[in-house]
Amino acid sequence: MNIASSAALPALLLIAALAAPVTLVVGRRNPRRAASAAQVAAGAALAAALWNIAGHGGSVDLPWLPTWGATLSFTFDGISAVYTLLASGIGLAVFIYAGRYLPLHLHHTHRPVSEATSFFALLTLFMGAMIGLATARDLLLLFIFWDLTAVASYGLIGFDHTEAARRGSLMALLVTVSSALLLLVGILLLDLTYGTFDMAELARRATPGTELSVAVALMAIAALAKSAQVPFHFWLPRAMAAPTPVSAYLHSAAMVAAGVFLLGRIYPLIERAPEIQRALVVVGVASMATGGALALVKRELKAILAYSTIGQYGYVVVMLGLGGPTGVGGAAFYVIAHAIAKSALFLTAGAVTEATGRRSLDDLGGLARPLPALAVGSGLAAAALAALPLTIGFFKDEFFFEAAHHDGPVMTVIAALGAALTFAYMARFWGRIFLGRLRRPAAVLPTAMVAPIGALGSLAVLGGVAPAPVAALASAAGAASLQAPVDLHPGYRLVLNAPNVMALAAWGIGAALVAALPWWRGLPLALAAAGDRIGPERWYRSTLDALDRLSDWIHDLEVRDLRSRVASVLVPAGVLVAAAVLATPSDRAFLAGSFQAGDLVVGLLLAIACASGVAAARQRNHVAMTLLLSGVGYSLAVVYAAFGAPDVTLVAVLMETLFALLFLTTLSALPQSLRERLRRRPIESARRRRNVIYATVAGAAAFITVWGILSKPAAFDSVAARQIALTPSAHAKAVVTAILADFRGLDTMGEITVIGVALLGLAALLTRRRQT
Amino acid sequence: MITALTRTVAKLLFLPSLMIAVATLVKGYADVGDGFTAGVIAGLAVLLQVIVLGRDEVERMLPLRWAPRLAFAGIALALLDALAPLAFGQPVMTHLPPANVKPIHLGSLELLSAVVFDVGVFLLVFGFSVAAIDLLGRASPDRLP
Amino acid sequence: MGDALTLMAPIAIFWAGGIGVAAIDGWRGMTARGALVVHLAGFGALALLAARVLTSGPVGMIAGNWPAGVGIRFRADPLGIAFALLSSLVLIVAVAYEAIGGTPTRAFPALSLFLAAGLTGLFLTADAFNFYVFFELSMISAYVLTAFGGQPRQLRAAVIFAVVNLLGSVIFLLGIVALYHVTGSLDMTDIAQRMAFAEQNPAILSGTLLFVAFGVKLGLFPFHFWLPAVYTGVRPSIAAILSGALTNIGTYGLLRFGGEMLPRELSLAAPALALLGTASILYGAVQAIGRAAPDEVVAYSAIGQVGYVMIALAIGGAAGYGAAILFAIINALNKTLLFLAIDLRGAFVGPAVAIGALSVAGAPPAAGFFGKAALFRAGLTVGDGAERAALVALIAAGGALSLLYMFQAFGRRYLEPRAEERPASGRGRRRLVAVVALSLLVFGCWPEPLIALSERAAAVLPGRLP
Repeated sequence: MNIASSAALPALLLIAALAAPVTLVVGRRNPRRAASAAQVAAGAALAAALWNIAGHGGSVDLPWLPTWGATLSFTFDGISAVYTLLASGIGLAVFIYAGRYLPLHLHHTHRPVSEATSFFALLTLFMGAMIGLATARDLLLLFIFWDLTAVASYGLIGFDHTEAARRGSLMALLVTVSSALLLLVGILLLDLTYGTFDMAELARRATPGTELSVAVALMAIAALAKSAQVPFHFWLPRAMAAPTPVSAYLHSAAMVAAGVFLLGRIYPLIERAPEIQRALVVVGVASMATGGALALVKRELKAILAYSTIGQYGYVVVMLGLGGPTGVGGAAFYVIAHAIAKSALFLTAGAVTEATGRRSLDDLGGLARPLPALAVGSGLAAAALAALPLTIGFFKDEFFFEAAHHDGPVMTVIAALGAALTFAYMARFWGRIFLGRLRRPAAVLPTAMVAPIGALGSLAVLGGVAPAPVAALASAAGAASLQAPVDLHPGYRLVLNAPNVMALAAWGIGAALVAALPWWRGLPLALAAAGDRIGPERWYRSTLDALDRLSDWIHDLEVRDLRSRVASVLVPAGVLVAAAVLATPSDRAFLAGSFQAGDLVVGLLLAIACASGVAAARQRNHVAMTLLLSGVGYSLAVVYAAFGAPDVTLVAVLMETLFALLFLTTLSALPQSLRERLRRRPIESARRRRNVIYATVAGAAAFITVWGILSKPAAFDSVAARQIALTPSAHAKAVVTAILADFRGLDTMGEITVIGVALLGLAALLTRRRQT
Repeated sequence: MITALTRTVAKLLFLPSLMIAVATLVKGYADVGDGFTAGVIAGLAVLLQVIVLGRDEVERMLPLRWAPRLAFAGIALALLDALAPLAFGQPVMTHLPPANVKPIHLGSLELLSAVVFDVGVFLLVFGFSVAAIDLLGRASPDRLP
Repeated sequence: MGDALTLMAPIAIFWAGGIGVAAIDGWRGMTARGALVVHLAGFGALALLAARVLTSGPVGMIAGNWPAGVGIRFRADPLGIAFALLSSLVLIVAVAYEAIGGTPTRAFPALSLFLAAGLTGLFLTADAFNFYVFFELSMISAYVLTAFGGQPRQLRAAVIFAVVNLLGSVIFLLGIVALYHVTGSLDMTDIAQRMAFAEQNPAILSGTLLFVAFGVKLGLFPFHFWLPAVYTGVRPSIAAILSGALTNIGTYGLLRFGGEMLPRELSLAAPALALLGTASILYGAVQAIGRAAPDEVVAYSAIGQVGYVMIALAIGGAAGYGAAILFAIINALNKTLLFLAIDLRGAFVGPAVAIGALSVAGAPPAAGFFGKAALFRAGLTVGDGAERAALVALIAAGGALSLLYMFQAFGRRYLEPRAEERPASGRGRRRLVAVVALSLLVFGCWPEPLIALSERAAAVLPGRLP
């Protein structure tokens, strides 16, 4: 088997697999080195990703689950290139930043430095999972990486051990991992229908139909939940409880991008389910509107960025829904541009909070003077997100406009309005932090915290001046999705074509929106209020509350005492027996044989046994109860004798005697006062009635069962005849002896061991009691 | 109502009961009864002594505290008898002599490996009964210091 | 090595070891370590037997060289082997846990060996009554073990456990007698062959008795009321044994008696199984959500997880039975890990509990993911569209609920501001738990051995009836 076509992909996968364990091992020795280990891992992954891009990828194929037909198969294609670059490149920048940020953060929150180890181990685990996700060709394998990103995210959101962190991490986990179950069902359905987990194979085999549409719909829901699209978007703002580097990396650039990555990956299938593809446009537009509007009115820095992320991925989803080379290729371009800009802005938010100790726009202003480098770096990133010319963001919008314009006038208007919203909230965000009056003095920031922001900002400008390399990456990704050549040509064309007009309109409207915000902010505020009251987050919370209440209610109903626990076995057993009787033919099911004179003795003995049993149940004196129960046993022993089984009779009589005596000895071992109390304790009448009902149900069920079984004569020869015939061969005179010591001697062996174990238990219980 | 007469009768009955038990055991292969029955009979014999004479007096006559060991020795003996054939490549519980071979007679007794198994059962049941009597007797409150 | 010896060696080792350890009872440290050595030896013998069975087919033996039916027959097939290996492994972990910490009572090591002998015997016997005898041996050992520790709540747990399960045993014995009455044989193969021609009425009644008995053993809704008090009352190692080893009797029993001997009755009962399974899943999950103590959460989760086994049995066929076995194996490992880990504090413990929680929720990279995936696969093979959708929705909803209660509990314990810091537990126990967690991770990354074993085991049973 050809394991790998070149060394580049195995190298990348190896780095991805080893990043977290190595970070963990290094960190356990010296927590201060954990950050360096993570940075080296990210650097190596970035180098390996570039090597793969230069070497035109390759593939790795290893056996994995032959029983289910899943393989460890990875391919490095255009889509892989985009997302591995994001994971490793943005990762490197964030890890460098976090290397300075985290010690300060831990210091502020009075926590030991050693916690840095688990932080960086989780970050590198996430990076590895993301690289695996981007390169996996087998969908079952892809699913494992998919959930692994969510697991890492859970640990990172909860990292701060606050109430908000705990709730936020649980919410993110529930939304992304529960929705992932739909992805799993989709994948398994595809395997069942088309017989393969391999995405490349599926792209060849899948034909439009109900199965495909259902599978694609399920997978798309999971993707939308992961990308924080309406109505699953509410987890993302809550995930902002994580330390800033996590928000910059997972919850803007990488993990949230996994959703649109999946849409790109399964695009060949989405194309064959046009109704689902159209639904993507609707969801995307809703997310654009919700995210954009709320980003415009939120005050907290990270909340603004979180809603902006929801909106921005809305654009990508719309573009994938619109389809075509510009839409699909442009979506990949959009993801790259957004990741660069947004991660820089998150890092800015963290740096601003670190310098001033504030996290709300209301407390900030005029920071351009004390922090000029930060202002420039983040300004470039903000410009990129707002799609100003000479930044990479200009082209992301250009492709978006082109795809929207191609679709029709409605989408054209929506696209321009959406871009206007982006422009407006970015202007507000950057302007309120860096311009105006200085409200708080700002501390000097370490270089390692500003440099990554500057680097990312420069990258945004570089992409705006020379967009060809990014366009080539996006084209390759688009080609992999569409399975047809895609050729994106970003460039500045000074003509009045549709995209340029839309861009101008967007800036104009955007500027007007932000200038007029005081007069119309009621609208987005009303939207936010409505969202709080009837939005999905409210549903989430009330569902959880309702489950909690239901749980307590059921828990209170649960039985606690031994009697009811016994009844809870007997009564359902009776019901099941009744169901079984009803489910089977009733014709001649219950027969009564004829009564002969010889049966009279047996009948009498059984009547005595019954009477003793009933009397024992009504007896309060324990000694009398014991004797009555022995009466049941003795009369049954005589019944055995009547059926000609002297061995059994002898054993029964002896055992009955022994047990009666042992029981009496046990009773005498109880303190007198306890015996008195047990005898005098009144039984309430309600309980007595219940006991009668339980006993009747159980007795009736047992009676019906035995009657039903005995009504049918044995249809086959019993093995007993052969055992009797073989008794002489066992050198025995009586078959019972031969059975006990020979034919079924192992049963005897087992039962005597049971007696031995009972003795052990008796000794353990009684000697303990003596000690206390 | 324990009188001098019951005490004497109980003491007198002890050895004959044990003899009946042993007889039930060794003749078990030919007649009604087996190791299990024999064990219970012997156990009841001791129980009678304990009830009539009291535990302390019986303990002076009989080593009651060895009863648990006797029981486990019985299990071990039976298990040995059951598993030994494995060492010779035979299934468990393969008894000697084989079906078509006449067993060796010792007087009216037949030498059978199955009887060894039965002896194990006897020891276990006897040991268990005595140990249970002993443990319960010791646990009773009027015996606590 | 002869067939008889290969087949009986594991049982012989556990059994003789139990007697031996009971005899040297008194030297505490030695008995626990000695018992651990015997457990490992027995596991080794089981592994040899497994290798033999999986490479060259089932191994059989009839006790005393008697004809089949007269003598008790033993046979090792993949189904029995899978559960025997699993139970032995769980017992090794639990005994190691006690041996590391210094065993507080004397009887534990010997009882654990008798329990192992009983479990191994009942997974390898091919005789219905002998199954009952080994079942009794396992149960009586378990009754005494539940009292282990001797605290009032442990004694209370032991009483509840013993009373309810003795009732189950009586019902089970009735079922075996019924089978004997109907077929005239106790040999499982004979019973299976003759049952196909037996009258419907007695067959379904004996099936009902057996189902109730195994339902009690599993803690299936509505026979579960004993379970929470027992699992939370006993020591962690005993809870691990009960949920990881003893529960296997129920799953195996339903597969062997239902799937092999009464397949017609099992498929007739499929709606009832699905109904009770659904009730169990939802009941266990909803109960677990509101519980504050982690051991209560895990105990109720056990009720819920049993429901999935029922669902898989109701689906039936190779896919259903395979899923039931795979799920049961992984669930046993999950519960073993969680019951042992939630009681500990210190390094490695949080991640180990997280892996266990992921596994219960059926999320990668823990092994539980493949258990859930197998259930989905089985559910998707159901022919009827509405039924299929309902089953898949149920499994998905159950998965989401288990994610909620496991991580709610995890967050309360590990993501809270450090309110109470108990001193870290002993290093040995933490390492043991870490090893179990790691094995769940390894199986989560490479589950092929488990999947292959469960599919081989399911292949023993007849396929789905029309």
